[in-house]
Amino acid sequence: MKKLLPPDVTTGQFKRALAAFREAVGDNWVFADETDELVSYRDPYAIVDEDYFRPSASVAPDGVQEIQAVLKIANDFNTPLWPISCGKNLAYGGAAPRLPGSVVLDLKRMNRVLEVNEQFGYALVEPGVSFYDLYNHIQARGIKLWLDVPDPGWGSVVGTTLERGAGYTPYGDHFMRQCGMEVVLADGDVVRTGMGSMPGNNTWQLFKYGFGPYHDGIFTQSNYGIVTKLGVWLMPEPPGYRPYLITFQRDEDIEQAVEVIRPLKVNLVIQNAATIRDLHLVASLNTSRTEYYDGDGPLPDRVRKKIMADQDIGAWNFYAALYGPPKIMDAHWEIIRDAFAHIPGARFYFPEDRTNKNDVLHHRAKTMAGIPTLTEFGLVNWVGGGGHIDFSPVSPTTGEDAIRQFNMVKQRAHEHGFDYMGVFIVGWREMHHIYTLVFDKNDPEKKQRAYRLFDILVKEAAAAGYGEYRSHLAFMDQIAATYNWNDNSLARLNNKLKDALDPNGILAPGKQGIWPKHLRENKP
Amino acid sequence: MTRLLIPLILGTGMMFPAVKATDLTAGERVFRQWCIHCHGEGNSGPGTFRLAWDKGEDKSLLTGRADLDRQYIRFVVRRGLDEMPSFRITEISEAELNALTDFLGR
Repeated sequence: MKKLLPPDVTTGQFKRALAAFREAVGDNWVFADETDELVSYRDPYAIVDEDYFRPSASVAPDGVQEIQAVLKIANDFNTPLWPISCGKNLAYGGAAPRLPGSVVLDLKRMNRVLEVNEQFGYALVEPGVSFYDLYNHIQARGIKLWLDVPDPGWGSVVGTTLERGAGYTPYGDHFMRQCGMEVVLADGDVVRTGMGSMPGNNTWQLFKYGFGPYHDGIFTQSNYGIVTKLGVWLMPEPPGYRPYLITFQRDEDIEQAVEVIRPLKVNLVIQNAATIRDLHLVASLNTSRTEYYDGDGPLPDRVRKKIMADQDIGAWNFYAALYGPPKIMDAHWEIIRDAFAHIPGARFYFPEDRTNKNDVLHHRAKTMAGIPTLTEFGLVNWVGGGGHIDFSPVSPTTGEDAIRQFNMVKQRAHEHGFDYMGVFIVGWREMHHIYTLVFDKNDPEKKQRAYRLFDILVKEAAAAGYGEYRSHLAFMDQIAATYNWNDNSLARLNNKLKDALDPNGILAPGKQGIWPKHLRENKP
Repeated sequence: MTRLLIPLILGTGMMFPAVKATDLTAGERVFRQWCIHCHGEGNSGPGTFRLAWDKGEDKSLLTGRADLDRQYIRFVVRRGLDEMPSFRITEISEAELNALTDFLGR
């Protein structure tokens, strides 16, 4: 395979840049061999040609000083850098860069848990710390704090927060629970946000805002700086915990269920970031599609009903949990049960009611208690071949919007020969609707079909007024372009910030559709 | 209605049986850090589930296999295979990968 270079960089310049990187971080931490080293920096579930989003090299600094040295070299040689934390943002591109030929800035070596404070409930961590790392750190010390984890437990605490990902405890909005950052800017300057900018201050992880403009948000889903330390609030271990499942028998029940959820959520009766999961998503963790159906196209209704009966699940399945003293949990449960009982056919379960040890409620019981797992990865076994990509539009918490999004996505998915496999994650006043498009990545025709489907979904969602909260590399430009109010004024602001903070455009070109000036007209 | 309180949940949530790290070989330590979450026992391990589907129950657990070639293990770890993503040198070093192949390989 031909050696890929950063755009407009000659072979000679690139060799000199690599030599400088090696001097900065050590020979062992610069990788440029396509066959043995860079192959693990590819998009693991590529929806386009898997050779497209590939880097020219990777450099793995350990510490702020080494990052500063790397940034100086990147500026000197016009070498774009693509920072990653743990590189496990797998359904969105993994460790692969948006701009082919970028040098991945692999921060995995920076994996120190700098502080866990039990009194106030927070942790300060580096980008290479995974949820498993932080969980094990806390458990080993007997600290009475709970994490909030995403579905893949090997993800980075910093990376997931910067991507504004979700978890499933009452602390499920990760960025909302973030407090204080250390950021290295493209020119090497190091900034601490909020109270961290005052020497000797002891509230960096306690008060988010400091004095003056609040900057943390611009370093999320962006390419304006490299976050090297991040504070996250952790939930004190509650005195009681009771996960539960409520099933609904019909597709159309999603409408009434969401109407029930909204007032319970905004009044904090539903305490956590609960999920409503469709039957395919639940079934995929315990079975494969071919065990029930070997035909093409979406599962027939008779097969769906058979799965529902076999697994004792609904067309929709609401996984949530109660937290707190038993009296509080009892009171909340009474309100929740009575509210959902109005939906015909609703059924209520606690873990002890689910006798299959692999039942999904047992798995969700861990996740909603902040225990990292990789169980959710079982969903990719649904069709085999491993590919998956998440379409993630945001929906108001109304039944009308939920059923509208569900029907829009399901109809297009079925037209393209795919099952609807989805979840609504309940936020405060909105829901992240995640349609997990699983496909056989080894089948070029299915991959192309999946791409066409995703492309249509983005367009039709935007036409209906729905925007995605996160994106795979392949759709960052397209989705960014849907946020175009007032003749693209948001893009103009993003570009102004980019040009001011990173005039050479070396940091993550193309991230979330934000390109440096020299690539804006001809986006690769 | 029965109630489930925290101790029961946390009891089922411990990810590893209590084994002192010093009692493990280097390869076992790598396996427990990186592989066991997918390739542990039971359906909660997506890798185990997939291997049972593809190759049969008797070959679903990597630790019970006698047919894993060292070069094949190395290839799959660095490149991934179907659902399984690849692992970078910054995650599993060359020395750790060698230890893992000693542990799992024939």
